[in-house]
Amino acid sequence: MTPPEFTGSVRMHDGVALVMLAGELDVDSAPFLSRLLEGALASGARSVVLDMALVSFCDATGLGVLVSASNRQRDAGGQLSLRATPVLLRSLLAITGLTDALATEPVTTAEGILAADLAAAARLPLTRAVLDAALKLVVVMSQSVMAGADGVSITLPRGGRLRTVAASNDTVLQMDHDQYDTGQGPCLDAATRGELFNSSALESERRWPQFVPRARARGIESIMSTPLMAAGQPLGALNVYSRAPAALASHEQQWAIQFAEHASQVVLAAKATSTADSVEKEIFDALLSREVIALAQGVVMTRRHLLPDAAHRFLTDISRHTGKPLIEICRDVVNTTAPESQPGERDTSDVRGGPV
Amino acid sequence: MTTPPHDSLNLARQDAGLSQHELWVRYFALGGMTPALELEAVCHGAMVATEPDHDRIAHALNERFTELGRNHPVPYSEDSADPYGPIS
Repeated sequence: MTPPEFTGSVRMHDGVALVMLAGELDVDSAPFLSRLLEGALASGARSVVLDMALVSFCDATGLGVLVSASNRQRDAGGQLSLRATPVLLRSLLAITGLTDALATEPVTTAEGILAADLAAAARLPLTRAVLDAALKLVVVMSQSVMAGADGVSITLPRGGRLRTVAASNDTVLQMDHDQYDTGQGPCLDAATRGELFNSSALESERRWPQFVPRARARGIESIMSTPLMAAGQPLGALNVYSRAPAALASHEQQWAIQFAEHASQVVLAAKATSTADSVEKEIFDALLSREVIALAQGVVMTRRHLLPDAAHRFLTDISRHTGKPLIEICRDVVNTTAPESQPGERDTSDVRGGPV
Repeated sequence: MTTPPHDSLNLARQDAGLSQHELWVRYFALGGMTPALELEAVCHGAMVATEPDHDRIAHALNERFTELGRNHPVPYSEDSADPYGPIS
């Protein structure tokens, strides 16, 4: 049965199986994807490429299916890779430590990813970890498209004051801290006043007399801070630093505005699910636990050809009979899937009499 | 599915020394999707949970009993048919 929300097709070309996917990849559509990938792997293609551009949502169960298929393909001497992967799926890979387990082709067009990602941003349960990972990706992508940028960071209010939540390198982080210490600088002004500040020559800059000498001592000569905005109110700032004067021109400014807009959407989506600053630690831990359990569920579904509820029951059953908490069982399952573990290492077969 | 006494989950919750909120957080961490208020209704027997959901509640309670050094006293949905047999 194919869930109506999710579709996929396989095309063979020159030894490569191209799998086009579209829709929401979740616990309902994961069995369909599992069968589809099984067919692609069985075709003997040495390379399987999954086009993720139209995948609007992916939960941890879906990830589990992808990782399992990737491992099987690698064991068979081939490769499975993702292309056009939306940013939030990359974030999910990052926080679950699976970035290396799934080969992803490099980002080539930031515009396409930004556009495809906004829909996903509103759907993923945005835990603090997902939010921070998503913002880190914004920072990395910003720096990669802005030729003049030597560093990018994002400032947001946390715990009642402004903090750097993502930075592309240490110098940038220190630059932000210089501004928090002195209580002045473009990043603070952008984040509190909601205006863009572009200082193309710090040598002649007079606006922030305590901060500017510190910046120049670190070798920085131009700065641009763009506010993150929501409903006319500033949320934070995206900061771009350069070691060269006048390095941040209109091209960089346009990109900065676009990335700041994107980061604002991500922050807003997190606020909408009320898991940003107000989230209690217990709920946050519970959300992470769910991710790990769903991921393990996806792995078991693929390996044992089980439906979602049966896979969950399978894991619960191990927990029941060993007296180990379910989350620990699931961590073991996920760890045996991660690429760094050796065959047989941390295998859960000892608790049940057969490999998971 | 074994139908437990209508408020047996609530009795188990009290026995385990968990508040409704604490039980909900544990159940939610295991992947449960039922909102807190509805979970309370399920515990009191005012609403019926699906089998997977019942098992999540039972497991949340049983993990708590394990922490307290006790056995797993809350039955799972398949216990009447196949108490400790393999699932898959």
